[in-house]
Amino acid sequence: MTQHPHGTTGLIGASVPRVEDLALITGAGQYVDDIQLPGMLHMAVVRSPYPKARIRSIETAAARAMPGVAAVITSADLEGKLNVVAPPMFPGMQAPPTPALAAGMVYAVGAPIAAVVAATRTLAQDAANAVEVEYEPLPATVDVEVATAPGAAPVRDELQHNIVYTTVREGGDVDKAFGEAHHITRLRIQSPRQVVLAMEPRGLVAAPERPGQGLRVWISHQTPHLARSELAAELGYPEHLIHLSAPDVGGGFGSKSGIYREDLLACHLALKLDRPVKWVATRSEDFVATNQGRDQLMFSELALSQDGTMLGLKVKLLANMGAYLHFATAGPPQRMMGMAPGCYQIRNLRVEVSGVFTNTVSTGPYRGAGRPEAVLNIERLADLAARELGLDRIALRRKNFIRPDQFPYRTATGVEYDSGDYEKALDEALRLSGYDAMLRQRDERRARGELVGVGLCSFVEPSGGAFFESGSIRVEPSGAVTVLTGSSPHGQGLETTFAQVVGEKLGVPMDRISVRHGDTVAIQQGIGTFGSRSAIMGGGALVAAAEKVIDKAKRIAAHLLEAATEDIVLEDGAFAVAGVPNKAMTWAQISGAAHRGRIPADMEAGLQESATYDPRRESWGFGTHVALVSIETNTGELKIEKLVLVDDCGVLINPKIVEGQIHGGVAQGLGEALREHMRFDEDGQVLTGSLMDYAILRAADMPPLIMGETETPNPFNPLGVKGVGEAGANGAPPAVANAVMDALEPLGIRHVDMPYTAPKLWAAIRAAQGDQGA
Amino acid sequence: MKLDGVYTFHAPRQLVWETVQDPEALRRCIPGLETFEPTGQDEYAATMKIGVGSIKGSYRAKIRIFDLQEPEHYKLSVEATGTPGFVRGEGSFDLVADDAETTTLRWEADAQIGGAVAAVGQRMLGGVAKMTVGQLWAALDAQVKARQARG
Amino acid sequence: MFPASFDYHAPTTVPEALRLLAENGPDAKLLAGGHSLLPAMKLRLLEPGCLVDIGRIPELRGIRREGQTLVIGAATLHADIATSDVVRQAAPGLATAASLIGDVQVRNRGTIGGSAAHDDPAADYPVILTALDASFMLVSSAGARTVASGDFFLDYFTTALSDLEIITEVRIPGAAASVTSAYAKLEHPASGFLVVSAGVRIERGADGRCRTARIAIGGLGGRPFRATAVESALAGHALTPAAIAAAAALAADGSDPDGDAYAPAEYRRHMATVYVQRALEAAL
Repeated sequence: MTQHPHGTTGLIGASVPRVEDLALITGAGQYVDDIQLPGMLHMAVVRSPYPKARIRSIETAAARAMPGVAAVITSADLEGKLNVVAPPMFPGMQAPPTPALAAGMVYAVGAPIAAVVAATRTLAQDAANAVEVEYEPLPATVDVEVATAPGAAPVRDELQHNIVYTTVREGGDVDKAFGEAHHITRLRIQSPRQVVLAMEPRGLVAAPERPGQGLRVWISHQTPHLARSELAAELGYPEHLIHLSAPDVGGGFGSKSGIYREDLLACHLALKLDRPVKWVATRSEDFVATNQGRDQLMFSELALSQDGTMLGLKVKLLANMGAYLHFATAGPPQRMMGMAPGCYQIRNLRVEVSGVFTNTVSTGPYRGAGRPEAVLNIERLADLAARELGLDRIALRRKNFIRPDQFPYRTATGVEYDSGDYEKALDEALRLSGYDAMLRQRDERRARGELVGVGLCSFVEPSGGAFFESGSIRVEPSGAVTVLTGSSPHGQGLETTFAQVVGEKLGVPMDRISVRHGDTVAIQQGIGTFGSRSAIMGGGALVAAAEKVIDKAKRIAAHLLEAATEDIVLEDGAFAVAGVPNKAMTWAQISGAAHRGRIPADMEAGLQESATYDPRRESWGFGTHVALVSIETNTGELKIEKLVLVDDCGVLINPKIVEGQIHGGVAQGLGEALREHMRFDEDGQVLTGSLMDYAILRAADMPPLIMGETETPNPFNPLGVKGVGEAGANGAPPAVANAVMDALEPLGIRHVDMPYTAPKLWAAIRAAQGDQGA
Repeated sequence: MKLDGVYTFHAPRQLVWETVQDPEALRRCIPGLETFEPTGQDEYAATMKIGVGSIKGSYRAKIRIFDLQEPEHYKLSVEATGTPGFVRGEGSFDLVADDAETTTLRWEADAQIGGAVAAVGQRMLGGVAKMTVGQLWAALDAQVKARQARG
Repeated sequence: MFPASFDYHAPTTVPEALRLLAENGPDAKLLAGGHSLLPAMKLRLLEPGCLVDIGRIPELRGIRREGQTLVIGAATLHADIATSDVVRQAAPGLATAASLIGDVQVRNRGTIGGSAAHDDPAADYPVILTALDASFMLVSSAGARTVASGDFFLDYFTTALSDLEIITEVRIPGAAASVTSAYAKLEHPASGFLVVSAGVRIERGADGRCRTARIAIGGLGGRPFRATAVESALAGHALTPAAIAAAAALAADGSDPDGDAYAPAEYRRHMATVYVQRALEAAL
């Protein structure tokens, strides 16, 4: 494996150490909270402890009088301005604007009611605590089934009903398929709500620039350009006068997309007071002020023939969106539209997705963003179908897999999968896991009375596709290369990955390339990082930009070498007339000429090219994960004894980074499977509002991972890549769920929802033993 | 959060009723109570420290007694708001005369606790609430006994 | 997470600390390791006007034997207790309990006296110290007194310690070859605090049988629960696996645990039997 390649061929595919890491792990990273500006004020937010209440009064006089306090504002000061507005993604979508400060009513715990700015963070908090709010608590609606029942009380006063939107997609003849079915497998499944918990909480610094002429913003964000556009619209401030940067960003996982109320408040106060204002969420605030993930309730029916052929599938999904919609809140459950059939040929499909308001914290994209839920649904159905029909679950999967020769494959609801070989990944996972031997051991241990289970999950992972992405390559006069990408990363290692791509294409060593991102002035319009898109989208844009740069460099070389452009070749990072390598010109020579006028008369000076990339389709990675678990009967404690992960994301640019992405996704996925569950009680009160009660998975809780891969290049991408950032979170939880249900099968237990905490499994075992004993 | 319990007073029901309905006795017995002022018929404004051990927060509270059916039933609601969050609850109380000298008080309550205390103290809210109620009964019991002693 | 402002004092002797406590009245709090106090202050659950840091008083630290009594200074760190050969020999259950508290950072800051005084119902020390029949030396300007663990841990966050007292020592009797102890804990997956735990102390007779057993269980209420039914079932009997299992089955008898969102009461009761059995097995 190449460690520090000075050569450039073979950069793509090399496990180059991440160039980002030295600074980040030695404390030299620059995060929002590291930014200190002269005269900077600090903001603290007064939040509702009630899930639903009328605000009777807000008393701010005491807070205003406290030392160091610069301002205390409530909704009365905003005059109806400053609202977060979710884009209407679907016709008829109910998307009432979210006022930055609650106007008269609060609809979720954590809703901002007043903002305080003061000279220090402590003074701001002191003053926030001195704001007295009188509430009239009202009954809250927490459950999506309650919220959608006829006659349900509206979650917000302005709503006609509690449905954000309902979309239906149907393909084939579903009723006929169900009419002809030999068997129908039914499943109600709830994915647990998860807290995103990026290591760096949300935050920003907003500072006026040249009074009245600009707003400077540093924000912990995944999509800086989109953030600027949304900020401009919601602040009513000219977009071109906002200079926004995302400095080092300590994780986002989907939650740092879009603008939140606190972002508007800090910008508003900075402009109003003409002083820089910083706000960084505490961990406690992050539990109630940042979008959470999952929380989808799914009802499914899978129609099968006697031999296990999947004939039809109906899915009805209720997605809990909380009380307030942010930029991407409505999006994740839409994934079910394209992903409901998973890896399988199911020609008759009906999918109905509803977003539902409740008096809970907002949800939104979280690593996988609807993919894990869709995979969980179809993979639990596949296992249950095999069990109910008395068929082997592997055979059932093989029978229904989309075959390699069917790609590109259009599903019954009109989504096109680009490429795949699902049996290959399955076979590799079975081989790596020693599947048959594992089953034998399971049976032996079962005979001794142990609860042991083996489960697997074959999944698809759609990635990229949404929006475009941009890349720009500037060859400096010295021949060094500056890369500007619109794919602003937040931990993915894109500075390394993109340097590998550009280095390989241009033949320039990595130490002569710097990758820049995350700044709306320095970087051309672009999008950012989410949905496993960056290698595909940002990489695609850079390949296109590289081709343009190489094309121009060849024309310059031809001019200087007095040869035809068609005869110029780029080899080992130098341009030469084909067959005459001794007269090769370096990038420094070409770029020097480009910047000093030694170019054709009709050519523009300089050597910089930009490109955008938009494949107008998604890439469909895939894989199979296999889990071996045991459950201690006496305590309900679950142990993952083995986890085998075979992923296919097409061509690997940096295998070590891909491995890291899968590790991270698996960790968050196992959190969902084992213990993470954001809970509200029936009154809407938060039950797991801190890390004292919300059990995030820790490093020491990770089982050893056995990793493998297959490689099916993406035929529609210039690098042949597919996304992988969410694969671990997609595949691992259903594999564990199926293994747990396999372990509990001897007790007659059919289904238990994640997370599989010890008390929950113990209670299920207890109940089943009672049934069996009775 | 639903809670319930039983407390036995070794005193006649009428005496227990008079004690638990006496604002002065309540003032002395509600744990952590600092001020207690009537604001209307069977309504009181209070400031109190609610919590446990050294972890106590200051709250402004409204206390209301209603649904009185002397000498056997009443309800009481508390709405308390403070820096650490809020405590709201409504309790229903039934006094049963087991015999002339023994009275059983059965209570059930539904409480909501929100804010910082709830966010970090979830694992013991139920136990602490029960303990606090237990302290209330023990203090009222002492009042009942004092009245008995006074005859 | 920003505490309200407060005054800070760092006395170097116990009398000086007592004087500061008396001078500052109820507004003063003792600061030892700070791993319970400071988070509560950051959450604004506590806003003491004055902290008296007793972490710099040398006489409050240290582990020693006085005959058959193990004496531990109140400001001794969990990490020191967990790794002390003296503790491991005299009261192995205490070393185990200390090793299971929090994480490495917590164990290198937190103190036995601070944990005992805070008396979190899910903390480890109250359970094992109750099983070990430990006592606490409490000192005030009026003098010193010794309080047995059974009289010290009263209820949720409530001990016999007054506002004007400092715990100076924890004293554990019966460090003898015939006595052994153990501790077993079911951790909450989020906080690492106990959901249920069991501390056991077994004194054997010359015949190898159990002469006396002291068993305390955490997680069943506001104070450690003495499993007297198990103690009685074991006393005078040979400690066979069957006898242990039969006795452990009685662990939750007489308890009335409160469930929470994670672990319902019924689960806690059952785990009490599991963890008492595990602790007994570990003790042998």
